[in-house]
Amino acid sequence: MRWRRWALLAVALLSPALAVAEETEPPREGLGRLAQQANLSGSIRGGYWSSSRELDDREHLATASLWLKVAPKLWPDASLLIEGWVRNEDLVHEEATDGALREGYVDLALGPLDLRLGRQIIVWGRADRINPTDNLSPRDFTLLVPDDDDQRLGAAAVKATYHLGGLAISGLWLPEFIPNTIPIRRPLPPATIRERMPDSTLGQWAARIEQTGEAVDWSVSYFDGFDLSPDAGLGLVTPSSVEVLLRHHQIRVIGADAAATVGRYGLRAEAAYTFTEDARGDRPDVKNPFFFLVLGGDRTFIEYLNINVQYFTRVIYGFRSPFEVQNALQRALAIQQAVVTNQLDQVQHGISLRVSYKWFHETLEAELASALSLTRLDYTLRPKVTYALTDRWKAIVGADVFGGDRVSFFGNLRDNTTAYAELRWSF
Amino acid sequence: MRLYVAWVVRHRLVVITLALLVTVVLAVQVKNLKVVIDPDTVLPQQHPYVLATNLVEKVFGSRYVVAIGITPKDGDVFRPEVLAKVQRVTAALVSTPGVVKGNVLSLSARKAKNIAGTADGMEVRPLMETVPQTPQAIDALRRAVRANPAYLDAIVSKDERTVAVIAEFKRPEGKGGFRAIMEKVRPIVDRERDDSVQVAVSGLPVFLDQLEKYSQRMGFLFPLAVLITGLIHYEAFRTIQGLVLPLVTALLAVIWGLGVMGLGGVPMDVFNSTTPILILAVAAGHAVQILKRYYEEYGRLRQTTTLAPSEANRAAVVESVTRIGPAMLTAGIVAALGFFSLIVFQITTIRTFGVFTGIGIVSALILEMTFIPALRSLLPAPKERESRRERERRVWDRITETIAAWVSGPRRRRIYMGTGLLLVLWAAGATQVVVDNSQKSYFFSGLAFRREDDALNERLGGTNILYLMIEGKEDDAIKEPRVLGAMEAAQRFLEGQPHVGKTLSIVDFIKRMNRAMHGDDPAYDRIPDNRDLISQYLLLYSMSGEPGDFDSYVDYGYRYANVLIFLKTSSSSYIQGLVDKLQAFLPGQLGDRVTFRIGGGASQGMAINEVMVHGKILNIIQIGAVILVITSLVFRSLLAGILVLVPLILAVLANFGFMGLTGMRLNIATAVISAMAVGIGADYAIYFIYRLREELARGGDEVAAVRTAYTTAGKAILFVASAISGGYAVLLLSYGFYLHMWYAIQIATAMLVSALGALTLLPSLILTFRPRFVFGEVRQRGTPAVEIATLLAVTLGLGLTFGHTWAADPTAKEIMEKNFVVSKFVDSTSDATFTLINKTGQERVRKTFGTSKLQPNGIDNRRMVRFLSPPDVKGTVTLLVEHSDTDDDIWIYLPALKKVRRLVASNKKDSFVGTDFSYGDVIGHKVEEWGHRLVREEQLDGQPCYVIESIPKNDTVKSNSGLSKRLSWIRKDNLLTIKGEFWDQAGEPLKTSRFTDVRLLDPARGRWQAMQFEAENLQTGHRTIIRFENYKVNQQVKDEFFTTRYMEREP
Repeated sequence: MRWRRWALLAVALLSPALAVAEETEPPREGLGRLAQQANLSGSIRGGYWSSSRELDDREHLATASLWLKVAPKLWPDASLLIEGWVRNEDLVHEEATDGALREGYVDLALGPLDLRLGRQIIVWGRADRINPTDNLSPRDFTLLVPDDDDQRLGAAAVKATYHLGGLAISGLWLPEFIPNTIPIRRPLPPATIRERMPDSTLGQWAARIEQTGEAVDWSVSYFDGFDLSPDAGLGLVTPSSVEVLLRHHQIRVIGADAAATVGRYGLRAEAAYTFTEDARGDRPDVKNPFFFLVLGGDRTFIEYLNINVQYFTRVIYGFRSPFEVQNALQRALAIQQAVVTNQLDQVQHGISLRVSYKWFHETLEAELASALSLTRLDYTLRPKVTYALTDRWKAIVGADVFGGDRVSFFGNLRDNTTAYAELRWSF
Repeated sequence: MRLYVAWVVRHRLVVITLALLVTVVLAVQVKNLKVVIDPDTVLPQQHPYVLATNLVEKVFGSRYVVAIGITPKDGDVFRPEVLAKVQRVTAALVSTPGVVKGNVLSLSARKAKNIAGTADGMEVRPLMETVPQTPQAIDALRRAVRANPAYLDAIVSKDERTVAVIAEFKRPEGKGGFRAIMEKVRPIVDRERDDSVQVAVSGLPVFLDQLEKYSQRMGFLFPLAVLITGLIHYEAFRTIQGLVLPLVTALLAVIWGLGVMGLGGVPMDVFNSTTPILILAVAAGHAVQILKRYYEEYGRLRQTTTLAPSEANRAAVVESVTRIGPAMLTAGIVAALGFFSLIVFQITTIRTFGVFTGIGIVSALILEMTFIPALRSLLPAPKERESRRERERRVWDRITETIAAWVSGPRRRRIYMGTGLLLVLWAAGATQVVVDNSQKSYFFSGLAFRREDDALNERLGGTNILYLMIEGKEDDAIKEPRVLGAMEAAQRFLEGQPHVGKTLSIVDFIKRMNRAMHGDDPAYDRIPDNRDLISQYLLLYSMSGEPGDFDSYVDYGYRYANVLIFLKTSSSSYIQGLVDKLQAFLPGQLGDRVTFRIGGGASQGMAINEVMVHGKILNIIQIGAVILVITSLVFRSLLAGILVLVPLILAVLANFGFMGLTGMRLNIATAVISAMAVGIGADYAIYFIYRLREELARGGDEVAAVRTAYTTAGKAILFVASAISGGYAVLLLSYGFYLHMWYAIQIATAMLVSALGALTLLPSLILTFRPRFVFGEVRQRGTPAVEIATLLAVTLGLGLTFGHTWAADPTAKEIMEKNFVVSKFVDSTSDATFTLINKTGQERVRKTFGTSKLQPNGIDNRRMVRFLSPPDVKGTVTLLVEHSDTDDDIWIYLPALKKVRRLVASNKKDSFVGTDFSYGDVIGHKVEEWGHRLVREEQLDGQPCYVIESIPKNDTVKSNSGLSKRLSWIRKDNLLTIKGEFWDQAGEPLKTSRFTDVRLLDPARGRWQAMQFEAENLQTGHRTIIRFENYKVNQQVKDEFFTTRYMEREP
């Protein structure tokens, strides 16, 4: 597969040069017209990352990727969207080129009813980046992309939304289950890790009532399906090996959110209660039920300085400290599980702060996103600067910094601390 | 038509209620009607004389001069008691608000200086600091006045029998107009009136004040006109309904007209005070035609059917409106269009007249098609006695029958001969018409204020001021001896002309200085040859004089000079002659270093004359053309159009002929009469032709058909013409005020001639030439519904384009209010390309598709913008819901985020999507939050513009907008901003903007949009160009665009 890697590199390096000519004279015939009709867009990205996001100590990674999206209008009330990427996350070393179909769905508008059929990304939640109700579409948290939203992936679903004035009533059936890809430290041999998918995911469904366009935007939602983030437990244990088994248990999430503006302030609130398979809290290998609340607001000062502050809290029900598990192996695993699932403490408080600013007519943008858990004082700091060199060329530099005790949510990710730079050409 | 009228009759209660409701709503709007008193409304603002006057006003002060003369019964003016009066009047005027303090001139005014030579050079002292009491002091004053000839005939008459105080007033602002000025002046003057002196007051404000007062006589003349019109109707019909119903239509039409004017913010001016009578007359005229037909149909139904009275009543209503409706709509719309077409006139008051009358006529049509049939069907059927009285043969019948006999018999030739004779007579008279526009001529000469004016003109230089403004290319140009010499030559030339009593300029003072510097040697009573010497004299003067002494004569930089020409007459034709002579004389004198302009109160009449003569012809041709086109369309015959014009041409010629023969002057007041005659006169011809066609179509005897047309429509025409003449005749009672009396006489003449023309010459021509549109196949469909619909559409379109017609110069705030809405469309869609260019020339281009829809409050928009490029923002959608009373709602859909996010409203000062325009620029700055001032008027891109300065009213507005000042160049014709300049909060220039490729996108609502916006930040050098393509409005844009549902959808 070496050729694919080099072909991708060649594309990444050459296409922008070819595209300069296109920029001055947009194509109108042949393939160009076809692309126009297909509403083709995308980007070619080349990047450098000082560290991977997989807690695997890999460093100095050169990445290249091609992102493509076609969204042709099929007929007036129907459109198609296909979006995906091909990427190589380590051109220098022997890393395989990978591809993903992020979305591929048909949109149908039948009067007040909208139908979306196919693989789709479903994003819920009105809070800023920390969304307790956002449990439907998976993310690849290990993907080396500067924008968190690019980590999302779609899964096959049928979404029907009925519009009644400003009210939208949605029902979803989610037959396909694709889990989150989360950073997990690979256990040292002889331990192995295995992820087991749910047997049947045909019963996943969700519903939501949403109001937008009035003084307050709000929604109430319910989800019954499998947890995108795995629970870690012991699998097969033999004298010569230990298997860590990642399993996705069923959860049911009832949630609500709201957003409003009051004068110059934007206020946001989002909360969810998650029922898990460990209602009593006596299974260390299954998440406990929890309540997750985010409250916050933002305000823009001096034209472009946007400051967003949020308070969040998680309350774990049926809580038993993982440190109190008797079996040493199980205890180690329970602690790891609690770290990854953020269930180390019965009650956790935290704040998030995001500051952004734009200069030069919105061509240069800087942002510092951060979150701090007040319970264990672990934190993340994520500065990012984006500069649009031209309308098509964009340069992004940034960093993810994680800190705190290793036995904490953010502290656990310390090895994922990375700096990055990306050059992107969009078309 | 029949179905429609039947529907109205069936739902009569609903129709009446609705009509009354509309009346109440519009009646309430009448209180919003602004009545303005501003002579500018009668002035063609683009005329060079008017522009020059405005410039003189700007550079030297005001144009409204009041002269107060005091003449002792015995002896000369150099007596303590007379001089004390001068001092008191001067002091009182100086402290009166509205007076240009520095320009008050009298013996005791500070600027009246005695320039005298001394051993050291020149001494400049006030002529009269205190009232001299001793004979020596009085003698010294007398000598000083004699030594300074500049003041002779200006503030002291040559015979020293009259002394004057001359005050200049600023243009009156706000309510009160010239009456407010005169109310301040009069007590000051009246205090000084006693047996020992004669006191006279004159000047333009005196006449304008009187004009206002006399115009208010309409308060009692209008009800009288209503009464007279009603009585004539009663005489015509001999029924109470005949008296009441037409008046109801007429009064409601007047209320609707005034209400719509109030609603539309079109101000009313005093020169339009007689217009309600016109609407009254026209509306009553249409009502009479329908009522006449109603009685006819009722009688026929009762005689030929077995219908009960109430059934016959309703059937007669349906029948009469069905039959006469098309004729009425055609006639009414033709008239309304004729009047609306006056909006092309340069003179505001004539535009207002056109708009007001047009609205009144359209209102009358609507009422006659809705309210009146509904009401008539509700009223009890006429009693037998009533019907019989209506049918009785009276003088009206004898007149119409006689004419019918002439027209259809061998005497028709006499009609042609008689008309030919009259035409020759009128044509001869028309050649004698003198265009003269002296406002003084509106009043009887025996009135006290006219006598005082005559007295002042006789004793002093004159009360009518003309300005000769000399304009140099650079500062100090006026100090050139050659320029001053030319000015002096002009003064001497002018003083040699009849009616020129005095001239005054800086030359008079320089000469006096030169002489004073040479020991009062008369040989030095001339302009020095040396420019430096002149400058030194002025410097010497300035050492003891005061800075404002020469404000009336030169500007601060000596670039402009003003020669005041005092005239003893206000006759615009005389002044025109004088100006012509001056224009021939001056260029040779002035050379090429300076130019000149002529302005001043006395020149305004000339400006009106020039515009009127040109405009008059244009106006008549225009209304005539409208009538020709529309009637040709309606009757599908060009000949029909020409025939309808015949009575109108007669009326216009009669009008001019009458004026020429009687010596009546063509002026602003009499000018409008032809327009009225043409507009109303068409009705007669149209009604008559319709009826004649109808009768001929019945297929009976031709003579009988003609006779029936005469006894029905013909008789109604006589009623109408008599009622209008009678209504206007009440203006004859306005003793002392020629303006009203001219109206009375000329309208009566015009109505009589056009009615007789329609009843004699028109039918004669029809019977002689037998055109197909009358005799040929008369279309059986009868109701030219399509044509009428077209007419209504045209009227609506035309009627609504007068959105920016002002009766007076609008205030800056009014301009900004209109400006605020001029680009607000009901809805719109457009593609836009935003090009952002930094100071190094690097460009960023963003393309969007946008749509907007006005919210029900008519102010706030919903705006959706979808970004189409560059690729990284493609698919981003913003939705902005404006709230004028609170913060806007904003949502954004970012494709990467996959969800709609609510955003905090931007500050008005924030950049609009990264451009150099702010949200405030795009959404519009709230008018009431800023103080606006009209700074100047100037041309930009060949368009006359208002330049308006807007200052935030408080610090909050300043902070929110980020601006301390903005200047807007607003096109006068459509009130769209085409240029802006902005200053930041620190008062530093921030940016400029230009709006070009202006297009009228919604003609019906008068909404305009620039297709290209450009802004440049002066502090960063960054520029933005926004170019719109495919800008479409009124697309019935769906509400769905403004939902988050749409935002989430791929385009």
